[in-house]
Amino acid sequence: MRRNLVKVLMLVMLIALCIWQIALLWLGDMSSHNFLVKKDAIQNVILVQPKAMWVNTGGIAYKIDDSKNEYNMLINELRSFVVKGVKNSEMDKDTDKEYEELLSMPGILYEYDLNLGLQELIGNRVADVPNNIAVSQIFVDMSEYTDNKTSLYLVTEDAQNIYKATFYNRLEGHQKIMERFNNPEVTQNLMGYQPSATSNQKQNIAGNNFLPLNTKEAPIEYKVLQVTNPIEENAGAEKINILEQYVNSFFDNPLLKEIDEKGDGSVIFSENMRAIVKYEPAGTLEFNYTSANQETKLTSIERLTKVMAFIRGCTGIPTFLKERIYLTQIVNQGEESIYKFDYKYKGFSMQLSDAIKDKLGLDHILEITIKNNQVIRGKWSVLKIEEDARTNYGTAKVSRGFREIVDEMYEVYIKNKDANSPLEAVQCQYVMDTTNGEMNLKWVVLYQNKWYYP
Amino acid sequence: MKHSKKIGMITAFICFGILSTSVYASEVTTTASNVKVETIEKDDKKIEIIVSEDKYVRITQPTKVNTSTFESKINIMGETSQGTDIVIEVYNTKPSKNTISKDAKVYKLNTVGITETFNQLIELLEGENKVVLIYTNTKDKKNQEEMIYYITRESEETKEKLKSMIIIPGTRDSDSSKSVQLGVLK
Repeated sequence: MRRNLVKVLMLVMLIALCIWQIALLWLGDMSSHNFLVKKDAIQNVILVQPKAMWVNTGGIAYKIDDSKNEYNMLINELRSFVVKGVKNSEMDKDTDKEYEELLSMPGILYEYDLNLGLQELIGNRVADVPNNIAVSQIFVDMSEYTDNKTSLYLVTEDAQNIYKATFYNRLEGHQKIMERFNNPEVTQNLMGYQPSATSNQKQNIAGNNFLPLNTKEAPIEYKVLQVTNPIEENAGAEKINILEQYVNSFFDNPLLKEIDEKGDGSVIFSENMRAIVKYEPAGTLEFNYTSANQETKLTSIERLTKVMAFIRGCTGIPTFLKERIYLTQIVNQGEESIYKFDYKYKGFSMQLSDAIKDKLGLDHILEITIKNNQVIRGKWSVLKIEEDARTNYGTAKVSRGFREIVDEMYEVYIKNKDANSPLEAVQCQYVMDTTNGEMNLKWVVLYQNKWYYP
Repeated sequence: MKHSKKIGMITAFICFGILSTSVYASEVTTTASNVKVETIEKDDKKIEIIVSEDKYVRITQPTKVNTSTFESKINIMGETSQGTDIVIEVYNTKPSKNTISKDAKVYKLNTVGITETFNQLIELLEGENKVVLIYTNTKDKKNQEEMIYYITRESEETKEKLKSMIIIPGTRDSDSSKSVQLGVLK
């Protein structure tokens, strides 16, 4: 009797192992077929990171450090605040406030790089959140210290339309941050910024740029970053081993993929012509899915959610890159939408110089294409960007102020101070002009669609 | 009864208004500023600016001869001719003392360029800050000319008092009864 029981148990175990093995062989990585996990788990995470967040004290603005906890705390507080309170909120589509007026008021400004629907900015598909208006800035008004009322101003990219949303609740975290930045001891050693729209540079700079108030005596101190290609530090089988860690997640059965090493150092991985992943020694990874595309149409927030889920789950995209990218552009081409992301480090955006754009074949550090409901293509830099680990090394300064830069632009490059078109952007950004060496913070100016480095 | 209460309130407000004006006026006379306030039109809006006696230098921020603020720093912005050299000296009177300190914080600005604008972030100490803007432009025969005006940084105590203050008593339902506009003093 006991012998029979042992036999039955062993049989059951063997049957279970058979089922598991067959499932593994048929389905490959089973994580994507797990129907017990809610598909929209990403719905409640931050979908779009702001390019920058500012505390405006009324006169001078201060940047909120994106490497600190308070940054995500504020975003999360605003998200849940809008989702919970939107039902009872009031939307005023015809506010008499002008953009310059907002920038003179105490408050916290969320600055995005493109116009997006409120649902995308909030990262929630709650039906009550209106998505028929696209804005690029959210200003949380802190000028009135009331018990149970908060006003949010939603500003379009061209600052021509401002909507006011009134919520009957308070943003405690935002209030605390505001109070902290109103303390002179806290702001004593922080870099102050002047909104260009409320400055005497309003005629010279289009829209609004937060201009650092740095001088020779009080310069911007920043970390010099090092750019390296970690893959090219290895060769032969070791290089392939490292690359496999990046590319295996693209294939149903990584063991069966084909590897084609080219003479120029590039490597192509493919699997039955379904997926092709190409590594270029300049420091990029590119993939193409060639399988039949499903024709389900997605809404804009569903597309964005899909792209962000892909980025989060893709082992081919370096983790440091995932943590510091922000959405900068969406290009719609027929059935395809290309999502372009830029990189920022400690609140400073990074741009690729024209030479590096050509070398990498990328306009932005990460580009993902979605067609219908499937991510079909992507390309990004795998270059490592890090601080120099050596102590007392790698810190540098930007001493020249914005006025010198604007003067130099008009004097040296434009040679006409009464030029009809104003400067389109005046900012301090990291500029990647090498794929193996130092990366510094520089003044960059956009004028008539061309970047200048005065 | 209701009417007498209202009349009392209005009288109190009028008294407060008269008193505050007289305090403001006395400040102007004690402080020897040598600048003028002018109203100009920019982008179809009337804005006030401070101008030097010879109208050579125009300050677009701050825009009052005596400005009050809670800020510890202020970005002075202005316009003048290209090639002008500017030095800004800031002297402070501590709230407890009546004399202005002899030690000044000195800011030497870069020569004004083609955009004919200038700006300088200055630090303010609590109490009255006397701002002396010295400008020189040999081409226009301006030699060490001075503009003097004042910025008062209100104390943190005043700020806290204002925050907890109830402005309009008797209007329980109004939101304004509970609110203080922090942006009023700039």
